[in-house]
Amino acid sequence: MSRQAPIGHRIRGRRKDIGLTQNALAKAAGISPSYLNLIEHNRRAIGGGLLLRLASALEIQPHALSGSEESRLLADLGEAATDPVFRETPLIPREFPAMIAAAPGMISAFLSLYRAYRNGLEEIDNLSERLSHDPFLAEASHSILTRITSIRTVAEIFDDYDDLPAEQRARFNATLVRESQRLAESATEIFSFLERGDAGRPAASPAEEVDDLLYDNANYFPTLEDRADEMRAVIDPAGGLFLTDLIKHLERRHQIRVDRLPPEDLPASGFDWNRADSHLRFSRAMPITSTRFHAARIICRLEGEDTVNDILDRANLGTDAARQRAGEALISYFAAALLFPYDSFRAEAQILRHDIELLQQRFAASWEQVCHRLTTLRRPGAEGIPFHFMRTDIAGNISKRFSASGLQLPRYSGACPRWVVHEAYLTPERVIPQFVRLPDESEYLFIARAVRTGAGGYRVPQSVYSVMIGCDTAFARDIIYADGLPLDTPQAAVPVGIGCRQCPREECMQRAYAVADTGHEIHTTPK
Amino acid sequence: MTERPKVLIAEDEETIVESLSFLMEKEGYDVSVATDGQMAIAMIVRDLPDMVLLDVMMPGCDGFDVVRAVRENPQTRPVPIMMLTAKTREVDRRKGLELGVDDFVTKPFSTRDVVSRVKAMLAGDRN
Repeated sequence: MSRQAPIGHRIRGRRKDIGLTQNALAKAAGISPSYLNLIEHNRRAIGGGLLLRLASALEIQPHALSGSEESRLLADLGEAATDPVFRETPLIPREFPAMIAAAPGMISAFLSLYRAYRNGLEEIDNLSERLSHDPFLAEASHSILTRITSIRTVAEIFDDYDDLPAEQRARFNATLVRESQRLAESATEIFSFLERGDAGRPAASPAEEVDDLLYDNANYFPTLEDRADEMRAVIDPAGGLFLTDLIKHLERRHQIRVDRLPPEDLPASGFDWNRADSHLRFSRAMPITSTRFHAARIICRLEGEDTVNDILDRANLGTDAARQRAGEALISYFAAALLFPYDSFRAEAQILRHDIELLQQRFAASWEQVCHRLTTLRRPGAEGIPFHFMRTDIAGNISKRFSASGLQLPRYSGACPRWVVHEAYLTPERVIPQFVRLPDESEYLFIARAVRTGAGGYRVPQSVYSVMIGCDTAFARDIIYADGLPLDTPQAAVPVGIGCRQCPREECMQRAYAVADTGHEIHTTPK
Repeated sequence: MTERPKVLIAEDEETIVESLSFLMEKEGYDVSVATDGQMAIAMIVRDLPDMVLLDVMMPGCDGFDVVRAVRENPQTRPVPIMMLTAKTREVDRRKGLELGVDDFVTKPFSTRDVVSRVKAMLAGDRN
């Protein structure tokens, strides 16, 4: 939970909405009115039991007071502020909490606009790149110029020479006709090529819309969990859901033929599902955790599409691409809910002190699947540790992100190079913990591991990813990877930021970009 | 009897070859045609034409390679070359001039323009 998310306005606003005086609310929450006043004016942070009591007295969900939305606004605003477009009119970070408290809707709108601006810039870059390097355009331009040259030369000849022999004239005529036609074709091709770029541009990229969907739902989808429970009872009442159970279910319940084949008979993904033919083929080289997951996804698609569509309909996604992408993300969530039941997964995680490799064995899951499931344990009243999750490739591109830990993952830039998610590549397959401290003095435990995927022999390229999860050090006691780390010694923490552009650590030797020129201050915890 | 000036047209687009050949012959020149870079180099070495109209974009080696080959060979070095190019980029112009091209015409060119330039260059050459 961020130390400075300004949620005081929410408490005050809600209190007034339901007609409670400060005295009444303070009494209900077991604190003094003057303390409540400090809270309402963002001079004190709240958490734990006090948060629950206030939420209860205000008749709202505790989640609404967790400040997660304010934290996001704060972080996104911080990132946006470093953009060179604001050089003449800098945003003052010190003022952000007050701005968010006073007009959160306005700040959201501002960020939507900024996001649209950024996407617009990227689109322009893409289009220019296309225009200057596109081989089709180069060829089409050349073709058009050649046709015009031919036509022009013949026209000039006709103009300058009246006494052409009939045969020659006829030949030139034919050329004229033929080249005109080719010109018409080439020109039409180029115009439709250029026109394709005009289709309405969405305000946010599909990836961002999916990100928003997950955040808005706190990465917890109760309808998918419930449906998964129902389905699991049918597939395997014992609950193990081994691969054989899943395959048998596909065969018996859905009449799908499942085959395991050599990898060279299948596409690079390692599997092929022909819905029309009811034929599912898997590569023999695919690890069992992947096969199991893919089978689960297919079952979820077949038996739970309605539940997923309900969520998508309510989500109000702007484009087909976003809806499709969101659908995939939800199906993956669904499959995990099916294979790793909420309650037993959460219980085991506690018992095993979040030893991810042991959880992998216990649930026949991959590293990424376990990490991802850990971030979805957000059922109100039965939460697991609030984790963040991030997946990058070896170039640092972030392909998956979600955070409930209070840490804000970067949206528009690469992550801080000091984060262990990068260093994990140096020792692939090893689990590397890291104790970090951010400029606002919040401390986290990061756990990362670089993994290889794809198995098809020596010649098939493999993909490498690094997956990192983490949480506030407040939860370190429950995490085996924290054992032995000097969490009580702040100086032992690695000083990190979120991303170089918005990081105030001027002395950092790993800095990739200069500090943004906006008079940035280091955020300090409110006293 | 004065010899008719020999003009080599190195161009792979048939329609342009047709028009240019017609015009060069009308002017009284002896026209031969090459349809790719290698052929152009061979014919220049063999015939030592008085003028070469050279397209940049040809199959095989491109027009710049032809110019380089012609200028590097002491026998063919003095042959005047006029480049026909669809590229209007400054960098191509400079590259051509550096390699020793004598004149540039960009497509879509006017044949009248090409003819008058060829005439001028051949006249200058005679002197």
